[in-house]
Amino acid sequence: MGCSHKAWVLKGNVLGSIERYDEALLSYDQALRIKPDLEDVYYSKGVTLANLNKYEEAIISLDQALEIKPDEEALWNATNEVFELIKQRLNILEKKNIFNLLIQSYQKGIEILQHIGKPNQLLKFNYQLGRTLLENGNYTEAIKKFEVCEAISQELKDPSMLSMTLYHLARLYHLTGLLEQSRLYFKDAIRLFRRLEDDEKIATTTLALGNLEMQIGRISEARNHLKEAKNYFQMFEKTERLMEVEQLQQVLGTV
Amino acid sequence: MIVPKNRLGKYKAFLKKWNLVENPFRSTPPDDPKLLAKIFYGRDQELDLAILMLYEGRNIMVRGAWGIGKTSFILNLLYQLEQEVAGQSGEMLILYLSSIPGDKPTDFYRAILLAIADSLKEIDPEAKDIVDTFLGYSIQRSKISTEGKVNFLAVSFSYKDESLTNRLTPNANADPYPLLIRLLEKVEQTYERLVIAIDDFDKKDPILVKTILEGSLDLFRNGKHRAFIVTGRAFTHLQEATLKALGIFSKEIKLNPMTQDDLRHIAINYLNSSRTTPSDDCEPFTNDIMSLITNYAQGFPRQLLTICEQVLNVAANKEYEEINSGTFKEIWLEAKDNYTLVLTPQLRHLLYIAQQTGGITEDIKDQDLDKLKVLTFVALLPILKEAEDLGVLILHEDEGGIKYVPSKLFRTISPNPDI
Repeated sequence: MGCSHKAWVLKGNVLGSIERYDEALLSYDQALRIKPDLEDVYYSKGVTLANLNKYEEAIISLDQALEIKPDEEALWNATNEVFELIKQRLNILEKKNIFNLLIQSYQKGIEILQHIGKPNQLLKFNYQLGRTLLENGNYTEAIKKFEVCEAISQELKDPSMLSMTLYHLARLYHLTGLLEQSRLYFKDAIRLFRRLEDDEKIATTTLALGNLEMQIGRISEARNHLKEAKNYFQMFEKTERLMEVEQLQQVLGTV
Repeated sequence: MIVPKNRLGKYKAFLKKWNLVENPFRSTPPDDPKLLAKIFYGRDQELDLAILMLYEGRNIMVRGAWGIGKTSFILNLLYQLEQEVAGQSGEMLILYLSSIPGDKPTDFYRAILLAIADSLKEIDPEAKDIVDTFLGYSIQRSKISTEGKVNFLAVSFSYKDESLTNRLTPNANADPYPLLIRLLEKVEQTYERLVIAIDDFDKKDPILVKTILEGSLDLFRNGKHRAFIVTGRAFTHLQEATLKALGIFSKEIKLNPMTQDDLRHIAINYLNSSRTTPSDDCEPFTNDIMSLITNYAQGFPRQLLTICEQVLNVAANKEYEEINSGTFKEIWLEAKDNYTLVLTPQLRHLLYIAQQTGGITEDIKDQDLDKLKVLTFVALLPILKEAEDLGVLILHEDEGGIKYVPSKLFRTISPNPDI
């Protein structure tokens, strides 16, 4: 008599925990052969495939998990985290293809979330999609996604997500030449980082704002903002950032 | 038997007592260029500059806050241009587009294409075919005037729901740009000079405006005697810097708030447009009250006209002989109440904060944002724009940035604006 799907899952989990990923994968496949609607097995299989650097298959497996059980909040969170891990691990050669696949997965996830109505997850998926598009150089599309995030996080009164969203939008507006919009968004991002008492992000955003102000001729504001960013980076010994500020200050000195 | 109250008769009798045929004040400018020319006052330097530049085929951007008089300026400018060029040799076509429908660059090109085709339809079969078969919009000519060899057409657009009948015509999916460029060349064979004016160009999303400009360099730059003049309020110094880098606009004309004396002249011009015999006084307003009103208007013609319209109506209904320091207080309170009562709770909140703080800027305090139930200044921008459109807040701009200050037309809002 054969094993039950539970036994295969258990075996897969044990093998995975001792990094015998190929064998773990075989066990998960056995479990899915017996019972094909196990979302947690598709999820575990996705993680295992990611550990084997088989990112395309991993993404497909994670998508399947979400399709089977879209109302499982924890599954959305976990999947989002794996997508993030995959992005971090990609090398330059893999980036293009896998990014496109990830973009499709985020879009698929967003469609499901719009249908079932989970605003928090919808916000996270749009945010990650925006970031992926930004990293992929699709600025106009990225702006659209972050604008959706802005609306949702304003609605949810979520200062944490809103602050990061505004920061990315400010960068994107800067990159696409919408400079005044960029300036206002940087200022509001700083406003929220202050509320959240996140000193490092305040300094990083203040530096970006100073850089923009320099570019558009708001010299005295630029001086003040660069000085403020410099104080922070000095205090926390962020050498690279400090050099960046000093370079800009040098340019400003000649203005 | 019901006896009519004869409100209208009383009202008209009162206006007659003031030597007026009707209440001449309107918040929007008249669309008859001849009437507008009689009412228009000031902006002489800007007109001198703009007429020469347009005649020479240079593009101009006119910007200024809501209610500062951009539409009056541009319409009067085009009328003056028509009058002056009529005395010169050579033919000229002036097109004024009051707004552009749609939210894609192709919508923009299609609208210009349709306006140009409409102006050529009597002399060019292809243009006529385009007008007859164009899908998606209909065009309305609101004004047509011809002076000498100059044609001045003002057009607006509206959507029409149609299905595709002729596959050769510019439909909603085709790219109209090449056809537009070709038709422009045809116009330039007929007319020596062409001026296209687009009002409220920046009503559209900034990304779209930028995309249109970047993708239309041939349209804006080519043609020696082809000039565009666009108006907008949100063009900032920064965006202009980007636009200047594209080399599209030779000149930016910023319309600043007007002096009290200029506003007084505008009020007198409006009164004269309805008087049986013109005069250079402010009757039925006394000089003191007109001085107060031009102060309340904060340099904005639209504020002035709205205040005068309201005050004159209330005074006529109350049958006051004169709008003087004795009667004005009561009139003014009633006029302000008429405006304030119709505000939504959200706008009342905004007005309350603006009145408390002396104006709303990008550096608004967090506690004021909390009162307005938003987390950021950028989240306020749509409602600030709405408040500006309704004349509740007035946009002031100087080197320090922009500030939305409360209009004087509304009464002071209580600390609990919901009630």
